Formats: sequence, C-alpha cells, structure tokens
Amino acid sequence: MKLKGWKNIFAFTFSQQIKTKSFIISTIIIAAIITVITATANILPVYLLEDEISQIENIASGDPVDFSVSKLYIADETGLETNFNVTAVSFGFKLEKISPDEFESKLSELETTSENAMLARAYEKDGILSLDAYYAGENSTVNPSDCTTILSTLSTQLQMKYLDSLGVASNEITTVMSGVNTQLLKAGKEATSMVQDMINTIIPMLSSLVLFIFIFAYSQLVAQAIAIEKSSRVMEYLLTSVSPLSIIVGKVLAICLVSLLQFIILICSGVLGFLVSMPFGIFSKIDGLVAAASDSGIGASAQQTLVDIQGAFSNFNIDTILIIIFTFVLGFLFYSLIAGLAGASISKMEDLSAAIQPMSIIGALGFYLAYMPQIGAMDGETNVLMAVARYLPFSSPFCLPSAYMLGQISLGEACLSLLALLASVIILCIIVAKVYEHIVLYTGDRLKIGDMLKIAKTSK
Amino acid sequence: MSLVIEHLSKSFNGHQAVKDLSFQFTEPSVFAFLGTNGAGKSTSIRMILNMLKKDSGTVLWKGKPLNVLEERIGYLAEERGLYPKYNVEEQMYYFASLKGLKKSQAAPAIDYLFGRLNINEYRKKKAEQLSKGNQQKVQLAAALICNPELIILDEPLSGLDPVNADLFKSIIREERDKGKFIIMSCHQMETIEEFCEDLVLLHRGETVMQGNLNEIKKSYGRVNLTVKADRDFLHIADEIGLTVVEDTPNGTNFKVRSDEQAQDFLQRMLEQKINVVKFDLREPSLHELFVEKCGPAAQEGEKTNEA
Repeated sequence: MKLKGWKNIFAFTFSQQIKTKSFIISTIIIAAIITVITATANILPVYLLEDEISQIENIASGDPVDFSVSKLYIADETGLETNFNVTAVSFGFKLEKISPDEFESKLSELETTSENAMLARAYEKDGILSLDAYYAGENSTVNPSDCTTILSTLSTQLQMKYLDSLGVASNEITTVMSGVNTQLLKAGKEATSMVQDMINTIIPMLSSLVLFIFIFAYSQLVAQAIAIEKSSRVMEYLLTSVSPLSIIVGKVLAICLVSLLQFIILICSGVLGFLVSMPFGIFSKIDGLVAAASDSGIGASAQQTLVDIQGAFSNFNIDTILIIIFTFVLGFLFYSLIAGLAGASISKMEDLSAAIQPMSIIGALGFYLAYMPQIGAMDGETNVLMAVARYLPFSSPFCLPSAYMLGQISLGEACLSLLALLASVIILCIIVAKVYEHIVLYTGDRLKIGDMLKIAKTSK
Repeated sequence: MSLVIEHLSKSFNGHQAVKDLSFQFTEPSVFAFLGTNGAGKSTSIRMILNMLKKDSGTVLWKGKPLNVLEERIGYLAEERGLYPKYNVEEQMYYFASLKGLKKSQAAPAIDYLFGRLNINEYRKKKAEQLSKGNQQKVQLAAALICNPELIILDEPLSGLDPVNADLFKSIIREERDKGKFIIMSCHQMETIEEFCEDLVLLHRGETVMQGNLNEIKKSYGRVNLTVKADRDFLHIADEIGLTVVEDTPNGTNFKVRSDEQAQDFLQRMLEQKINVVKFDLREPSLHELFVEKCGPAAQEGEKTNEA
C-alpha cells in the first residue's frame, strides 16, 4: 500500500493547477492565437489569389471566365486550321479570325480602341511555330496577366494541332504535352522534391520546439509544486497520511495531465480555427482547384506541391498519434521525476532556480541534440546525430514523433526508442523513490547531485 | 490500547540525535515530551510517525508496529504550514480525503472544528491572507479532522496570544476527556504541569528524566525553600550550611536537605527576633527540574564527566 492516497493527491493537484490564473490565461491566449493563425492561414490565400482562383474555378465549372479580354482577333498563317473556339468559350471572349493582310490595320486600331481586345498571329518560320500577341492600348482596361493566360492556352492548342497534323495519336499527344519530369538523385536515396525536403526539415524542428516547451515548462511546474510543499511545511503533515512515493506520483501524474490537457486544447483550437474558416478557406477549394489546374495545364507545380504536402502527412495515422502521446507522457515523466527530485532537494523557494539548473542543462542538451541536426539535414537524410538523438532518453522525447511521422524511422525503431525511454523512466523512478523518501523532510542547504546519489546508493 | 516506544535511536553523520529512547503511554491522557531546543524531540516524533528511518528500536501501537498510514493519527508539526495560495476550505477537504474521509464525512467535522476554533469566516480565503494565529488554528483543525485516537502536538501553543492559547488548551482538554492519547511537546512548563501526568525529558538525545510528574516531584521532596524577612538572615543560613540558589525581589531561594534543616533555619531566625515575611518550603517545580537536568549546571556536570 505504498501508493495509498496518490489519487487524492492527483485529484487535488490537478484541480488546483487548472484553477490557477496562469493556466487559464495562458491557455486562453495561446488557444486564441492558434485559432487565429490557422484560420488566417486558411483564409488569407483566398484573398491573395482571388483572381487566379476565380479563373480556375470558372474553368472547372465550365462557365465563361470573367476575363478582362472580351474579343480576340487571330490571324492563323500556319495552315493548321486550329480550332481556337474552345479557348474562346472557356474564357468567355468572342473570336474573330482575320486574314494575314488585315493584321497590320487591326494592330493600328488596337492602339487606340476602347474595346478590351487582343490580337494574335500564328505563323511558322524556319520550321518553328510562333504565336505573337498584342493587347489593346491605354483606352482599354485589358489585364496583361489575362492575356498571358490566354496566350499560354492558345499555344498549347497550337502545339496539339501541330502534332495531330503529323499523325500523332491523341493519347500520345497528351503524353508529349505533359512534358518530361527531370530529377537529379543521389544513389541509394529515394526521390524527394524541394518542397518535401523543406517539410522534412521544418516539421521536425517545429515539433522539437513545441515538445520541448511543453515537456520542459511543465516539468519545472513539478519542481515548483514540490518545493512549495516543502517550503510551506505542508509536507510533514502529508506524511502522516501518505507515503513520499504517493506524493510524487500523484503530483507528477496530475501535472502531466494538466500539460496534456493544455496540449490537446491548443491542438483543438487549431482544428477549430481550421473548421470555422473552412467555408471561406483555401482548403475547401483545393481539390477542385487541383483538378481544374490539372485539366487546363495551369498550376502543375502547385499541384505537385499539394501532393508533396499530402505525402509528408500520409503517415499521420493512429500509430503516429499513439507514438506522440506515449513520447509526450514518457518524456514528461522522465523530466518531471528529475524535477521532483530537484524540488525536494531544497527547502527555500529562492533556491529553486539553482536546483533545477542541472535539469535545465540536460534538457537544453537534449533539445539541441534533437533540434540542431535537422538544420544540417535539408535533404531529409538521417545523419549520425539524428540517429543517436532518437535513442537517448533526454533527447528522444523531442525528435521521435516527427521522425516517425515523416517516415524517417519504422514502427519497430520507434517502439525501440520508446522502450529505451520507458526503461530510463523506470530506473529513474526507482532512484527517485529511494532518494525522495530520505530527503523529503530535509530542511538544510540545497543538496547537491552527489549527495543525492550517495543517499540512493546507501538506502536499501 | 497503548503506545510503547522501545530503544529508539537515530544518528546523523555520526551525531547521536536520539539515544535509546523508551517509554510507555498506557492510559488516555496527555503525555509530555520535553527537552531543550535540539534535544531530539522532533526527530523522535518523526521516527514514531515513521517519517524518519530508525537506526534501531520499535514503536508499538495497540500491541503492533505502528502503521501511521493506516491508523487515525493527528499531528500538528512544529514546522507547520498550509498551501499559501489555496483556499482554506479546499485544503481542509483535501487533508480529510488523505485521511480516508469522504466529503460527506468531512463536512460536519470541518463545520464543527471551524466553529469551535472561530475560523468560519476564513473558509473561502487563501491561507496567505490569514494571520499566523488563524493559520495555526486551521492546522489544529487539520490535525483533528479524522477524530484521531493518537494525537501528537509539537509546540501547539508557540506564537499564540493568551486568548488563543486558552482556546487551544480547552480543545486539548476536550480531546483528553474524550479518551484520546495525546503527546505534547511544549516549552511552557506551567502548561505541562496543568495537563500532563507522565513525561519524558530529553537532553542532547538522551533521556534525563522520565515517569509520573507527581512521583518525580515527590522523590525530590520539599527541598526548595524561599525566604523573605525584614532584615538580613544570610548569616544564619551560613551557620547551618545553606547556600543561596537565587536572590529575587520575592525572596531568597535555598536548596535544603530535609524538612528538619528548614525547621532549624526558621527556629534560629525567630530566636533572633527576625520578622519572617515569607517562608515557603515546597517540591521543585517542573521548570526547576527542567533547568536542573538541562541547564548550565547539568552542562557543567557533563563537561566534568567528559574530562
């Protein structure tokens, strides 16, 4: 019955912690910030890319596009007799074919006309197809970027017609028009795009930072809670009802739950921001945009970017969620047990910062070991430091989830890393239980690590 | 039901804090646990409550080794405190829950104790907003919340004003009358004489006096004599071999060997027509016994023995 009463300590500590102003205010403020950031990240691109999205959406729906160009004069000297009407219907302008002789006079008219017109001339010279285009002068309101879009579409049609005239089958034309993807790869390494490489670097660095902040900040709270109990002299009273082990177990688990609760609240607020902004955000339109971009040949690189992002998050499944939770809890236990010991080694609150200094050094070392190698691994390749960091108990909590999520390690490797962390927590737990029992009533100067280790060694 | 302590010892880094402490507390009453500062009282109490590991010895309660986590024990520590930032009432419910009380059981106990100690108005306040005396009342309430059978009060009256000291005393008396076993450590000897029948006196970790207070006093006999007269009488004291212990405005204190020696002294004064204002022959007070056992004279004796 050494753990008798730990649930009461757990319940009291939890209820008191979540009632503190610092917890309520920090949770509300950070949750609000995260909600706003995710909503903004979803909504902002819709406004920044308003014109482009509108155009692609119209293409996708088959409706005439609200382009600034209302008329296109085209002189086709290629003899291919390309049907540009398809483009005219899609973009919603009128098409008028003109003879090559009329071209110069139309060009003169274009300089002064108030009509939102465009003039194009397709011809072949030295075996090369060319397409020149002009848009109306200062009296009109033609948008040059609309003209570029139309020109690109006309060019595609012209090429397709040319290939058709050479007797190339329509499926072969599609293949040819898709172009050739090129990649320069290092032997023995899977192909990744630049976007993927960026994701592979940014996600681990961000997750290392977030996990470090949560685990470390809340571990310090354990040290503070124990130190308050000692400095306020409540400890001696508690020990007539519960064992020292119950006290530290109850406190550590309660604060672990508080931190997990805040972590979940912040994730939920991010999801909330995303969901609330969904009707107005870019993500509600993304599938349609990708499909339209694909059909029209517009935005192929954007489509690839989306595919890369999807690929990077394709491992975010139930395994990943469990690994995140286990890593978080075990990492928290690892650091908070050390913190509890630091809190118990002092009897005055003013000694707290000095007492947690060794833990701060271990934490900082673990964080940098998890964080810094990511900078040198832009190509997503695992280096020696990254591999080591995943198995050391003081650094693995900060890098394991992202490594698994990005597919840098297998489930087996992740489990091995978690087992190493669990073993460290158990060993630490045994040491802490031994030492804590002996120093819990200590009221002298701050105990050094050596003194505590001596206590652990001599106590049976 | 009894508390039996046998051969309790504890040393820290070679320093013997408590040496072979043994006593029996067999009847419900108030047992005095006395000693100078640093004599080993708190260390002994912590060993009794199993907070400190014993080097040797046993603590039996109801004939079995005392399991402090299973028994109803009330403890008011010398170094006491509350969570400064937390609501007083919530802390009380928490302490009650640690003693195994459900909320429905704790509520009437808290109502009674807070009413008895006149601290109902502070229920919803943070502990840090209370005066030291009121915090001490809350801590006494916490010690008594589980209706304990064994109560250990380490300096319960220190820092209290006379009114609150009287309130604490009346509560201790009530608990004693309910048949509780109360161990009290206190530096106010009058209070100990008021409450306690049995005692242990520690000095530098060693038991220097123990047993029933009345019997101890009787064993010393009426050896304390205080005399006040209208003129000098010290030459008479010299004649019969009495030496002055202390000269105070209320009289001169002597140590006598027997009643006969005192009577001889009085007779000689009367024969010399000395007008005797005060002649008080009595047993030593607990204060005097304490000073004798732990005061400068005792320390001198120790030095001589060591030499």
